[in-house]
Amino acid sequence: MLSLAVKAGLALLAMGQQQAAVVDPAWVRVRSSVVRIDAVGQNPGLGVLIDSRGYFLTHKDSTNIRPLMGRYGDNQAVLLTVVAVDDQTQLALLRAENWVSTGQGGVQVAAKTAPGAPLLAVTAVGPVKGEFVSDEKVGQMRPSLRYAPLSEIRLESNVVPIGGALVFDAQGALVGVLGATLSSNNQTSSPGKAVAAQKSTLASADSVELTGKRSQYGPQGMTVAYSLGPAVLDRVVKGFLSPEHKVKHPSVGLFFKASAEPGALIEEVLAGGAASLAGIQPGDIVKEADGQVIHNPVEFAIALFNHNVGDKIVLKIKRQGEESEVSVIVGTQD
Amino acid sequence: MKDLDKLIEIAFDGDESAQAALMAASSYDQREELQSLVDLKQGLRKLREVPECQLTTERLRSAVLRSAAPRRPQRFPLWYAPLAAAAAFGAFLLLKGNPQQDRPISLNTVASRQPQAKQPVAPSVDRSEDSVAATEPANPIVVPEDQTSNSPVAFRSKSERVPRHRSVSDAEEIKNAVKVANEFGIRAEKTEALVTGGSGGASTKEASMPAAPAGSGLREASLAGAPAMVVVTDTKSPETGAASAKEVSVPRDVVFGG
Repeated sequence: MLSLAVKAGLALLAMGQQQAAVVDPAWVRVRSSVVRIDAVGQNPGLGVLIDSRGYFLTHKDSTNIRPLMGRYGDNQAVLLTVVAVDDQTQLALLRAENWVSTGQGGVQVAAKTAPGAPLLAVTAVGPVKGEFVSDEKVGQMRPSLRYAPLSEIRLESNVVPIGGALVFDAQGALVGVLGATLSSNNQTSSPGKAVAAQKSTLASADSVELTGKRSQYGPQGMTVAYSLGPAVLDRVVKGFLSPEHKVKHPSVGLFFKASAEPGALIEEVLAGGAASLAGIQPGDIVKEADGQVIHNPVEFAIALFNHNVGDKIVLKIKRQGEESEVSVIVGTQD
Repeated sequence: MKDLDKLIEIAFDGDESAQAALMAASSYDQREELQSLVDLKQGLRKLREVPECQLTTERLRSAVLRSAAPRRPQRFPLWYAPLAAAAAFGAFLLLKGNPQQDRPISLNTVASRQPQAKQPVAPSVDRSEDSVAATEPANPIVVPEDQTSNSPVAFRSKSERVPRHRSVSDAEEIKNAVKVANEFGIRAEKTEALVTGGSGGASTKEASMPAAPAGSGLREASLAGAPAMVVVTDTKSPETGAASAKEVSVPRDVVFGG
């Protein structure tokens, strides 16, 4: 009797899904590049193919499972091994064992996404529609305290575990890997914004499917999520695909904050770092970087981020009332 | 069909180890079906937890009526009002008291009169910029340097206090920074000094640190054009499984590493 009732419920569920099953065009483009990393007792992870040699990008949290097995939507399995982990961005590079290249190069990183553009977030329990808000968010990553440009994304659901979700634009380019969500006490609950976001996401496409299951849609809530901005995501992917599989984030070995006057007050200088070798001391105030006036620590962080490892950056330093210029060779965080 | 029956049996009657074993051994579709059955079982359990009063409107109405709070007795009868007014007036006259008590207290008598003097509030943790940090010594009487020995005792008002270079929130930020700095080999005593604001031994850092800067107003001014910031913490949100992020509108005390 119970089994009959369950079967009837499942049949009704399947009927409802079939009626609303209109495949999202973005999903059609990326479905053959996305694998689900299954795990018992915890939320599954996701990986996306980024290179024809069988390299997958995933969130670090998805790599603590053994054996690391990825499954495509058609249940085809692929054994994965961890090649590299970037602690700064919490992203990881996986390699498929016994990979037979089919010429498929995987997805590309989206260069630029316009605010308001519809997105598809592929979560472990199904796709969720979303909207791109901005790629100009200033992020500070804990515990490293490093600056990172962030993209803000709004999702049409607040019930799905979205940590590590892959976000694609309508063309199937990778916009980001969701790494953070805005705390509930900080949720922007502006009714106007929420309604606008719902309208845009509802109008974008009818429905999507992932292995026959869909997440809950509707006005039950919005989730504000963040992923790394396109610049840093591109840097991570290029670093991972380099011969040494290593991401080189620029660093000069400084910790700084707002000062009483325009500039960035140096709080700490890491011993042996590039800034230390250049003679910069705690208490110095960075007034300019490469001729650009630094008004606050955010501007200095962005100026540093925009350099590559090996670049020379000229800083105008104010120390005990006197200004001087020093040249610093940008190094890595190691 | 037999497979489905087996899945139902394990989902509804089997323990978690049996479910986990089946999860590991079965195909993707079977795992999906098993997961949906487990979800269904949990949903049925939750159904039993619906309060009985919500099952019918009639019961809901009676439950609301039953749960209405009883009328509280009047605590303050009206005939007390004149008596209370008279008592308040008397207390006012008593507190106003002898005007001689308002005379300034000379330093010679400070020791014995100290308990009567207005005590500054004990140092407490206050995140505001102008606050005195918890590490400041508890000095009950602060005498300005330019006062003579027979001048009245004066207390610095909150706005007159010398603004400290670091607030408590600074220390929290720096703790994080120091944690990372330690990974890069920064000395322990130096990090301690950085967090507590103490001397921490002779270090080039302390010697080269500037004097306490002018208050937070200037810093606010220097941050006027700074954009809002998103602080991505290393704690995970249980709902979303992603790290928790907080928006900071004025990144006054946020430390950056780079």
